[in-house]
Amino acid sequence: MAEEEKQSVRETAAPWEPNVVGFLCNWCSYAGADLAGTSRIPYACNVRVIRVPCSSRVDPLMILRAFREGADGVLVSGCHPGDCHYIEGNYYARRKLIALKQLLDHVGLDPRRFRVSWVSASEGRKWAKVVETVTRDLLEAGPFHYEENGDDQGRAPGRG
Amino acid sequence: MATIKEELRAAVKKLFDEDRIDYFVGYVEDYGHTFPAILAKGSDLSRLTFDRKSYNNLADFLPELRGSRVGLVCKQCEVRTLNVLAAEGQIERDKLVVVGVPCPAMVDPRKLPADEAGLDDLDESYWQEKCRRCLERNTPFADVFVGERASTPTPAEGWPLLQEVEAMSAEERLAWWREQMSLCIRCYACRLACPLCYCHQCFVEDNKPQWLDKSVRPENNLHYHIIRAIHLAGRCIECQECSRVCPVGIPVDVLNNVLARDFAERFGYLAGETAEAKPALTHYERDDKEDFIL
Amino acid sequence: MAAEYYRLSKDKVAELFERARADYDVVAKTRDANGNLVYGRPVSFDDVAFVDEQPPMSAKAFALPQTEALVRYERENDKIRAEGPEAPTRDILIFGVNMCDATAFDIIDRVFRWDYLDDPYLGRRAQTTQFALACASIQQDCFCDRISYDEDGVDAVAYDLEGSYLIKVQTEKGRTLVERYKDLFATEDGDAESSIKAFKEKAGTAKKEPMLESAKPALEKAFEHADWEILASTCIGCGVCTYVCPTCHCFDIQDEGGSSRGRRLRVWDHCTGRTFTAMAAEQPRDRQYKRYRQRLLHKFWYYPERFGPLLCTGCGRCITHCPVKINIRELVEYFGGLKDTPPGGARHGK
Repeated sequence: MAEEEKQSVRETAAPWEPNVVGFLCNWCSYAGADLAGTSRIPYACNVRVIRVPCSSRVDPLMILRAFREGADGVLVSGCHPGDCHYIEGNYYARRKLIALKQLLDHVGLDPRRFRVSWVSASEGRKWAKVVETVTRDLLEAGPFHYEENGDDQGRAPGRG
Repeated sequence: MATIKEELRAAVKKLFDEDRIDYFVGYVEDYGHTFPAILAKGSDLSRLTFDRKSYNNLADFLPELRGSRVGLVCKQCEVRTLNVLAAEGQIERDKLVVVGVPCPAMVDPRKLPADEAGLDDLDESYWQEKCRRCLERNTPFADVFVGERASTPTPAEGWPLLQEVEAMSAEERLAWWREQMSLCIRCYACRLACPLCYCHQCFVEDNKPQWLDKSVRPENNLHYHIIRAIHLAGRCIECQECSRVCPVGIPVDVLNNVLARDFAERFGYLAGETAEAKPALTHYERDDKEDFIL
Repeated sequence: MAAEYYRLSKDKVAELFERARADYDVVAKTRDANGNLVYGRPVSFDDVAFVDEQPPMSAKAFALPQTEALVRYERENDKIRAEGPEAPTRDILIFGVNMCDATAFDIIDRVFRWDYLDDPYLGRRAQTTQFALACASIQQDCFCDRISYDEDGVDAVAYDLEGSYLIKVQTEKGRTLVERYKDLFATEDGDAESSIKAFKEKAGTAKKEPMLESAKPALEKAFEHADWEILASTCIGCGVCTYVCPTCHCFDIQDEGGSSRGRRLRVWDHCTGRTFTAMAAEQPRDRQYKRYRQRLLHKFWYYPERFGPLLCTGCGRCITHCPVKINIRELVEYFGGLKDTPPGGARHGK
């Protein structure tokens, strides 16, 4: 493998690498990510991709479950508004994700941990940039400790 | 002049006598409490009441009575709930007899005085927060109206507790919610007292896949409460029943208030205002305001 | 052991509390972040709430935690490490616990001691000492005066007799408590039982007929009573009544985690819920009123049938905290033939 192809955007590997779960719509963002790969655009490899038919398939439950299972960040990516393969799926997704975003911000979750992007099938470069942004932000934010205390007994007073 | 209780009892008796309803859902008073009851023909109607402790959102009992002809006491909270349920195709309006009442505003159960004699005279500082924000005290689409019509209220702006929490920094909010969630016992009273949580199967009970861990820990509890609020996004009419029924006193409705306010500001949508408006999450505008998407 | 009686002067209580903290993990009524009563760990004696009112959550969690890991496991390469249930590191003293919570332990014990010996529960139980404070008044929803179960099995009970506490000690654990701080207690010379009787009369906690135990024969015939459906139909199926109950003890076993690490948990469950015992097939009680009936009859028929006392201490929490204020006492009276009128006046109408 040629030297420049191995080259990461970051100079050296960080001591800790964030785990990002990415929910990518089949028609745009997944193809966009594919294009980034076939175009040999170097970018961070922190996103674990889950392919979904449409961004509106992504239930807030999936996002919270990803955090529960140890994700440091979650990225949902779909077609640009107006470009949905199913005409209007991403419009519905947008409202749903706005609601989740509001709540997560309200309860004090670091806004860098939950991101949404619109990436089309031709935007390999944008995909790489999005991943770079998300990864860099999470490197700053650090690991996410969903479970602060592993001990069941150390909970609220009186609950044993 | 007949009191509202007497008018109500007479009206319900008439509904049963004329065979217009199979069941009547209203409030009764007994053993020192005012609580909801489902009454069938032949029941003792002399305990029926409508007072300032008529807390429950009676629309919660409609799914149980589906298929029957039901008479229902509707204060403003039920009115807005019925609008949402109608928009979602959940009620059969022709089988429903709406008994309208002038709502005197409910007294916050945490502020109930030991002596309840002066209950009717308690001022706004004793009211439930939702009652200070009430837009209309009379039932608009009543089939039968009992009592004297109340005057139009001057609604208060905002939710004081929400404002208090929002004044905190993100770290403080996280700590505050963690503290609140550590109190949660996951009895799901907030879900079941909610007239809009009517799903037969709820994600909390799903076990394949199991979305929510059964262990009662702050992070799992928060997971539950966030999804509960999401499922009520654009639907919650802010009757505050979820908070009132919480045995450990968590103000869970704050999460719903966040969304209700945001949906009002962002989409100009107020849940339950009319039965015609499309529910906010089953509808979109091309130019919905998005301010965080990459 | 035979009951022993002591006196504790009121000005010695703070000292007792502080000194006990050296030997016990002391739990008492205090206030949580929202200002609500809770059995917790007060920072200082000033944080202890001396009120008759009960915290919404009973004290049962100290012997039967809501979530308890029975096994934890971890796998590293080919090695699997498993750890059994954790016992509390220190003995617990529940200081000033309500009588209705204190008596409940003995009632639950009978279940966990019967047949299979439940080690995690019994271990915690052996480490828990109750130092109860008898109520000086009776709350709106309380009905301990209608249940014959009394101080039986409570380690130590304090009765507030103007100026000093009369302490009744009934178990070895209670005696250990008194022995440890002997200098604080004086011996009681008077007729202690008469003083206790007078105290209860004044507080309104003395027993009043008809006792709810007497409802059992009629309840046994009321399973098919036509009014169950209408009277329990407002039950919304939440778990409040069972979770706040000091005697409800049903649990579920759940596994969490994966192949590399995880735990097997015991978590509280409630018979009023839609999915209770819905394991392989459907829930055997298909309507909500049947689930409510199950809870009531378990407490006032099935449990007494096997173990003797009622599965209820009359604390009234399930009435106070019920979202729809279903009143178990009224329903027992109605279906148990002690009362003719149904609560709220609802009848089936068929």
